[in-house]
Amino acid sequence: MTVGSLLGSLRRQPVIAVAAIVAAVLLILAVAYPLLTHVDPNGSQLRLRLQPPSWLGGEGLLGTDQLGRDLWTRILFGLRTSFLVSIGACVVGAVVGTAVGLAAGYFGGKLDAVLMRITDIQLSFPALLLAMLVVGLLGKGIWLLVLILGLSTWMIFARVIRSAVLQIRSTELVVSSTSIGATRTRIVLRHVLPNVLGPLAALVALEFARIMLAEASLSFLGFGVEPPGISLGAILAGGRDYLQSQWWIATFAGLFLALAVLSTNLVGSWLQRVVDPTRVTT
Amino acid sequence: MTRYLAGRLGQFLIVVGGALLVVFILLYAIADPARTMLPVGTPDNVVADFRARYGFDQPLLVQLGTFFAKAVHFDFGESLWQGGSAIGSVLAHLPATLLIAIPAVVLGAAAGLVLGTVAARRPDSGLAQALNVFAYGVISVAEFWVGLMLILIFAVIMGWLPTGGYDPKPATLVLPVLVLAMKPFAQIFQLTQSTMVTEYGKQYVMAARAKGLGEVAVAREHVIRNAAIPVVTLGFYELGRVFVGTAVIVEVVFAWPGIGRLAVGALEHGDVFLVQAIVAVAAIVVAGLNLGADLLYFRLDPRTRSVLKGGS
Repeated sequence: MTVGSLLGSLRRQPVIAVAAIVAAVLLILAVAYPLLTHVDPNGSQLRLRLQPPSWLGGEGLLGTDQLGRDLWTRILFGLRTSFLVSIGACVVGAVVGTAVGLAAGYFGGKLDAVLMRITDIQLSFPALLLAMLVVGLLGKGIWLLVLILGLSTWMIFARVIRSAVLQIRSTELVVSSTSIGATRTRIVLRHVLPNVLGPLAALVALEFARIMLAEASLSFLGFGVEPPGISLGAILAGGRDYLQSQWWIATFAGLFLALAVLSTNLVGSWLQRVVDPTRVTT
Repeated sequence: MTRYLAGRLGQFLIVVGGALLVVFILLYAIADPARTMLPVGTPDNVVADFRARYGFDQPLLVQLGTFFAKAVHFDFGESLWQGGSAIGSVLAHLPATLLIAIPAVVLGAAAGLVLGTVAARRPDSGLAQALNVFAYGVISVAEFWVGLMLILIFAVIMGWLPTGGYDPKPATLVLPVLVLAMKPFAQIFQLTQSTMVTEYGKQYVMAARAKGLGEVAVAREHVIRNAAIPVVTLGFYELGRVFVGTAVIVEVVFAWPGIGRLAVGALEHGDVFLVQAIVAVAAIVVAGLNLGADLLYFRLDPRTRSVLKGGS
């Protein structure tokens, strides 16, 4: 599937096209704004605390929080954290999961049985509770969070890659490569892996969205990013105490999170339909 | 058949045992249980006494042995934060969680099933597309944000419902149940829709129509019966997911005294004994529900039975 035909298919699906644009704009904002702004996201001005947005007669584009920090700036820094954690966790999950899925699917047998049983067990155990446990005991830090969330998603990658490999393994491509004497490693890396990249890309987008929500949930509960780190979940937790009168804090932080997750989810589901019409499911 | 049941039961025990092992490794091997439980800055001799009192000074393998020996009898020690036995504290908080989790899954499943069937009848209609966008929206929003927004609208602005707190009156249940029902609804809606669309494309539907059955009879007598099997089992999985996943968040948002909020408190207080009791109960409930789902699938779908009889 070429980039051109992907774009062509986008033109026929206005909802997905809008979602892709929203996701791109949010990504650019989250990357560029923190680099360009002079406003300190942690700089509190107690004189200006709990100000409504400027269009309601207050201060700043989206108002200020309980410590007088600019909400617009904080939300974009929080969005950057969301993207950063999700990208990191997706890389961890995709690398581990793809390796396991390739091994299980291609080599089969006992290895396959053991690996799939492990994914079963982890899939049936609640990821949120496990993540809270690890963070609660080992301390809070963004890299630990990336690792935990990455390891909470590898099984899904492993499952999907495994079933894609099983389909490819019996095709003429692999049979003929074997017959001309290609080694197993070569077949897996040169022939099987490129053919599972489609489902992999779709899955990355969907898991990316899920991890963004998981990070926000953990930070909301106080088991995620800690100050001076900024997370949308933590902003929401702070805004919760001021819901009665300062509704803008929780409302806008959640709105940006929802936009980011919804747009990546829609793009992911579309990618899944486009690259794989038969739907390789978990 | 017996082999299948034994295998599934074995898997249940492996999941529960595995969860306990992971908790043991985290609590006792990676972290230091005495330092977790005692406040920062506790003098070393007090820490040493504490270790000796709870047997934390024993070799790890010995501790592992005692841990599992006690766990078999549901003895997880005394909760330092709540007082009394840890397992008792967990069981006391269990009904509150079930009070919102069960209605939420039932509500979500019922709505998902009905609307999924409606959407599957005419997949290209405006209604079906609107429902699909709605389901995507529901999957994509954070429960804690929706919870807070509902509190803002219905409790703060309108004043119709309380903002939270435990009171088994219908009014306090509305918002937590609604928020908890979101994800099960979306999951079951999507699954119902996709399985129903597949079922409607099958030849038996054409045969049923050809012999003159009306659309309602085709749906009720044939399509729903086949599509319901994965949907019902998904409902069980969803209950497990709600129970220890979303319930934590919803209980915190609505100040609901279930085991989710207990888990947050136990971790914040470093209450090792309470933490292990919570994980044990959560693992048993979730693995039990998954086991229930598999057995139900087995019960509902005659094909699995014949395959198993012929196969092993």
